[in-house]
Amino acid sequence: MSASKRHPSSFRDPSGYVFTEDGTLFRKVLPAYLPTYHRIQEANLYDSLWKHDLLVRHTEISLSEKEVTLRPVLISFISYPYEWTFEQYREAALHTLRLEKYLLKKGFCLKDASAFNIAFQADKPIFIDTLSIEDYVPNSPWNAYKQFVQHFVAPLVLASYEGPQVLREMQLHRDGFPIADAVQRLPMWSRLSLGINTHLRLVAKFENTTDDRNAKNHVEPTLSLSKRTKVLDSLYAMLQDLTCKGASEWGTYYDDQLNYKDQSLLHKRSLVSTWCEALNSARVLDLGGNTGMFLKCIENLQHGLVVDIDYNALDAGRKSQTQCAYLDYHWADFTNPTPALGFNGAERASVITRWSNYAPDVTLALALVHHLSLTGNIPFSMQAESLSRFAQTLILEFPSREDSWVQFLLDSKRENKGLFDWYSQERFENEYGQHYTIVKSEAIASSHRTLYLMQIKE
Amino acid sequence: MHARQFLKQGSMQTYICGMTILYFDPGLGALIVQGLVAALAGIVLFSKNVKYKLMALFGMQPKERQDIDIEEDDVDDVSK
Repeated sequence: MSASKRHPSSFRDPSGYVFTEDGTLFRKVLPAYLPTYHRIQEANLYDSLWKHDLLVRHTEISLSEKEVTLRPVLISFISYPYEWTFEQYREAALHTLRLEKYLLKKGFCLKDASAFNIAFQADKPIFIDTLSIEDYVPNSPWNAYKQFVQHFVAPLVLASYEGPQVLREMQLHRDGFPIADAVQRLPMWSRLSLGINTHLRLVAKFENTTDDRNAKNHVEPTLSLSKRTKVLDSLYAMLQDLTCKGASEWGTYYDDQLNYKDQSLLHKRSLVSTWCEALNSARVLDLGGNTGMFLKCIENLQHGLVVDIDYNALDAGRKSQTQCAYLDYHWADFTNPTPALGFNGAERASVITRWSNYAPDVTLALALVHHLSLTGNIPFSMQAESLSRFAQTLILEFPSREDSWVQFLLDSKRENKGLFDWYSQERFENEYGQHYTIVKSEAIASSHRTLYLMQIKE
Repeated sequence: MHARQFLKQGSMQTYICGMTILYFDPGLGALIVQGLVAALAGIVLFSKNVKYKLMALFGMQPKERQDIDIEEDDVDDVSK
């Protein structure tokens, strides 16, 4: 056990904790939770939950009177709630409610409802905190109701009015969105929604006025099972009906951009898939991946991670996902990556660290460099340095100054256009060459773009 | 009996409510309000059903939805 290391985010729940040993993830079940663990085993509940893809699978590694060690199935990539699209966030919320209702029918329930208990595997939400399941106490209200409202209802309702960028604010609220703050930000016409009045305004009112008085009087709230399930049903119905409107910048990029003729798009796709397959790429990270269309045509790909800043493009890719159960979608901004957060600055890893741990065989950066350079003003050398932190092998597309998108971006600089004379293919190759070896390059047919295959320098 | 105690374990507060061990404050107000929420939930669900029926009346199909309930024959209802 000397080589074991406790996961930096696993310290809140006295029921157990997650740790790694020799690179493998384990979960320790402590004495406080053992009676519940054994009751769950006797009820054969884990098998039922796995059968319905409600809970992450695990294997029992060791069992003693004092503790149990489990080895959970590894999730390919852990994305955090503030990196989900609106649809992903909603699916995570609905999954939590479905799990809670299923558990109630089995005589158990969820003791917490943190959004961080959900991960996405094969683009489907899955509950990953095995020790969140507890015995249902007859006629008890849901202890996690307030947490569910803070983690799911408040951000989703606000996002439905203000746009999906609200979900990014969960970076600031690791214990959930403050309900009173969310209510204050709601527009006047949201009062017409009975669901919002019930699950946000009413809860906020009770949260502020009831606690002290009733705590002194030792009030023990009760709630019948039928009423408790009704609360879940109404939460589910309300969240299902939420819509999030927002214009997409890149959602139809490959459909309506003039700088991609059919021939060039086909050639680019062919080059990407051929190069990836030649490298036996099992795991590919696609930065600026849009709908993930390039990953969908790579043979023998075991897992692909589509990363983009456009929520609608990601959701469009998810909707069109057919026969691609190996893709996951993840919101991130390469020019402003999610930092490490929480206790000790380590509870939630930075996105760069997670990309590095994901260890992609190949990283795609297609139609990205000109935006980093001409919109983000990031010099080539700094781009390459940042990429080198997680991308060992890179397939990168460079559009020359003659490309229509590059011309548009340069023209938008107006009189300062001359300040971007550094944007040239020669300079690009020199500065990327400080970190990467250019293995090969090929011009994309009928375009002013070149595809590069690069390998990081030792 | 739902005896509520507060135990100190180092810097972490552990809340014991009945048989359950919680590592966060569930908020007494949020527990009490659930009775009222359940009463209003009936109205919310009824209004949703009316809305869907009206939509169907005008030929509008509500989008395909996944049900909260998981179909299973061997589920025992603990409320009985």
